Amino acid sequence: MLKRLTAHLNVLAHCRELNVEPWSCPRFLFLMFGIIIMIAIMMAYLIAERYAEPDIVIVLVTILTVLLLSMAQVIVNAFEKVVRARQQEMVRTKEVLELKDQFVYIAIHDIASSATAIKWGIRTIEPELAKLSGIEKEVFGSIRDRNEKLIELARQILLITRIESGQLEITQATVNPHEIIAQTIAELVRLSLAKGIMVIYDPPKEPLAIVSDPIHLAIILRLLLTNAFNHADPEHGAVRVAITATEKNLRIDIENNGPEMTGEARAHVFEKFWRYAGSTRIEGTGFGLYIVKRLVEALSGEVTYSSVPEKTTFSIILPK
Amino acid sequence: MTDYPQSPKDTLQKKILVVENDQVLSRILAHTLTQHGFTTAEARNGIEGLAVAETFHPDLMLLDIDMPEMDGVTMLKELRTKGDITPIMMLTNLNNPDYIADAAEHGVHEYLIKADWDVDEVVEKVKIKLHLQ
Repeated sequence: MLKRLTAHLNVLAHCRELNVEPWSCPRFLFLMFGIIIMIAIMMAYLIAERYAEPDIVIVLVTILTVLLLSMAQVIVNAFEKVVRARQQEMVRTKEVLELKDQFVYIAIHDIASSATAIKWGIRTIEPELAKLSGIEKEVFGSIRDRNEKLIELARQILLITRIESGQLEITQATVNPHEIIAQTIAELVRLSLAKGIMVIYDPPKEPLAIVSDPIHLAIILRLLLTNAFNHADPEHGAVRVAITATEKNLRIDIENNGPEMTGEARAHVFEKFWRYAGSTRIEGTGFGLYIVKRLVEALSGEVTYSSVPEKTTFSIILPK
Repeated sequence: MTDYPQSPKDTLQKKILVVENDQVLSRILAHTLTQHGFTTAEARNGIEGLAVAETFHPDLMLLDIDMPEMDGVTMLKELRTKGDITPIMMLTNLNNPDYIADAAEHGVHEYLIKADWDVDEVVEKVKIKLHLQ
């Protein structure tokens, strides 16, 4: 308390914080203003006591009023100067951030372009490559897989840039969540097979429809499924997807049979760059669950998790 | 070389203009389309694309978005202004909602993020668009 009060009274330190000279610093000027007012009142009292003529008192009050207004003007000017400096700083910061976003966009565009050329090139010569064997086949498979990871990384960086710069656009359409889930599982079938993961999905018994953004919902599901594949049991991996609807909400649960999340994982799981350090076999960029959280929030939904041994479930709840 | 099934006769009569500034991607796409029986032409930017479209009279155009000199969305606008209603599919490396909205305003809703698809999947989408499947 005392420390805070001392800090508050340290006017010069405050001016240094604002990076302005004392005579341009509102708090210093306010202090001077107070001292001058006190001196002026005392002087007025002494003069009025000695010279009781009304003319002298009127002149005195006029002089004091002009003095006080001038001081007030000086303080207002100082405030305006500080505000203008802050505005200019904000404009500069915004410009720097826009330049950064532009740079990221161009860099990611070029990375994605090159990675797509590699992807399409590999596809074109794939029948020839089927004749390979041994180390050559292994190396080729590795090139293809790493290229896919590069594409995914480019996608995620771009998405984060858009989310954090407030440029994420949300469209609203009537969406059949079952169709998006089924399609996403089908798109990831190669990954699940490569990891030996059994995917169990119980489609809803009745047709479902929600009003949401289909593109972003597909991204959320893709990231949650990839996360589940990465953390499922390495020997007998299983991922279960369930969908339930209430009157107002839709809930999608994605469960894996991997180890229980530790205390550290529970605390940081939705943070950017955070990766589960409990196992070296886990792949990932540390962006996935952060993106999931931000996108679910952008869709006015909620993402939660629960974790017990051999069962970790991420759930998204979206308004219907 | 990839062994594709024999192309149906109707694809042979269909002409596809690929407007893509990345030479490798353009060549692979045009090559794969040719393998599937299409006749193709290539252009490296919107200005070149407009010139080729006038003489080539394509049945469908695949337009990249980010291109030098004239981007795909501007080319699309130019075509529509001239009354050219050739079916168009937009291609891009990145999912940029601004471009999606811009293209949709001009009646183009087919928007493919290249990295999301293999080249033969893009060709399949072309066939669907041209009602060849």
